[in-house]
Amino acid sequence: MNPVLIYRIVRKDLKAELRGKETINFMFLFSFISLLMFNFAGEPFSPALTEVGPGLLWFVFIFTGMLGLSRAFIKEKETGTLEGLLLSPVSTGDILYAKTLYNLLLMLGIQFIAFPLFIVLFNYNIAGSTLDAFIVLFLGNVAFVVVGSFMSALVMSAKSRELVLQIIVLPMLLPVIILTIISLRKVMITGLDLLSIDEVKLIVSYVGIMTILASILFEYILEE
Amino acid sequence: MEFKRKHATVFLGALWLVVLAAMYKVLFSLGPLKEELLRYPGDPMRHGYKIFFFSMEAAAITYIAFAVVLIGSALYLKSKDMKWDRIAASSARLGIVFTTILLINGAIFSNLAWGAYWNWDPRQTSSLFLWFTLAAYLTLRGAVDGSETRARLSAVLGIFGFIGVPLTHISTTIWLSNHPVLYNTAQSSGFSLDQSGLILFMTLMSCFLLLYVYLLWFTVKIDVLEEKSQKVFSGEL
Repeated sequence: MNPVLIYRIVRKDLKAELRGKETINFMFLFSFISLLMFNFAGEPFSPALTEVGPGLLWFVFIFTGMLGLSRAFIKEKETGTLEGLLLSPVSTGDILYAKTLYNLLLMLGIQFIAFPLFIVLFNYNIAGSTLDAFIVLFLGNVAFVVVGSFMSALVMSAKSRELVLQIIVLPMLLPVIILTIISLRKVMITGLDLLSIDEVKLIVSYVGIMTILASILFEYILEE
Repeated sequence: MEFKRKHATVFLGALWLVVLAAMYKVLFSLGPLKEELLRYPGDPMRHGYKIFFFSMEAAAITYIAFAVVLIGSALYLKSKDMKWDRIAASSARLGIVFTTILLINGAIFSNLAWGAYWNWDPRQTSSLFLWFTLAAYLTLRGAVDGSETRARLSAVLGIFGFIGVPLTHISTTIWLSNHPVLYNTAQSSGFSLDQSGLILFMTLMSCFLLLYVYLLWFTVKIDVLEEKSQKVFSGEL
């Protein structure tokens, strides 16, 4: 693991993305419009909307993230730059870490704008501390990108890969999506303290196991 | 009539189903289990108790199918021998059948015991998660061209997907569940099996296990024949 090389790949990806803004614009508009739509799941200002709010917010983030995921490796494959990346003196593990980090930054960037939008549109009062809600969201994001980036590399050589990716990522993420919603509800509705939530520990251990598995198995994906 | 090998395999399969049914019938009409069942004649749980066994055997086979997918995938990545890929793929296909049996029987049991087909019990939900994992595995297999690439990529997913098994297993101890358990632990709240139930479970288990092994062998064989016929069609043989 070489932090400098990882940083360079992430910087390259961010630079390319910020030049074209082809993914980030879609992601932002998608999250905005789905937050708007989900607002009609209940009467405005109703307790029902408060009840489903954290879940809807997390779903918006997950589906937005899915848009970004499908681009991370597939873009390299389509433009033919993957071979260049593999030929460069970077270990395969570092490529995975860099892509994961890049996806995480992309998601956090979108959520940095989408979360305040959610608060405004849903007129939401977070019962617990806002920092705790951020930490839960952050952990959920990490779990999402760790599994998602790996799976995005896995489907690179499949037919209709963007579609296959959704079908493969969601089952693998299902436990952690559910765990994140449960902990998010506990923070945002019940107002529990972060450290008293058992599910958070489970998310952390899930991320740990998935990271280890992904770094072991990643070289088998890229070998041709 | 000449008794060929293909007749033998069909005969063996049919025999196992008959033995399975007979054993189930015999074991339920014997001893303490029968007394237990006759004690509450009008109780819907009488049937719940029966179907519970099928659900639990299917769950055990689902775990085994997952383990075979894991081992087959790991051995494929190590040896690059297509034999292991075939075993893993066949096990996944059987696994999805047994998980479906588990889910349907579990839903019937759930309706009898708790009054709803889908009770959102952690064990029910996590079993559905296993079903989705296998579906994802088979989807990936269908979407990749080239047998080597398909074998390699699906092996990776096969190892990854195994995480669902320990997760399903611990789900009842982490979250509050009404699901019955085989061995009573401090955390469990449902009923556990008595000795006659345990004997029934073990006997049915061996039947289900043999059925699984038999079907696995059969599916692998079909795969081999399919590949052979494709080679014949493309003129390689």
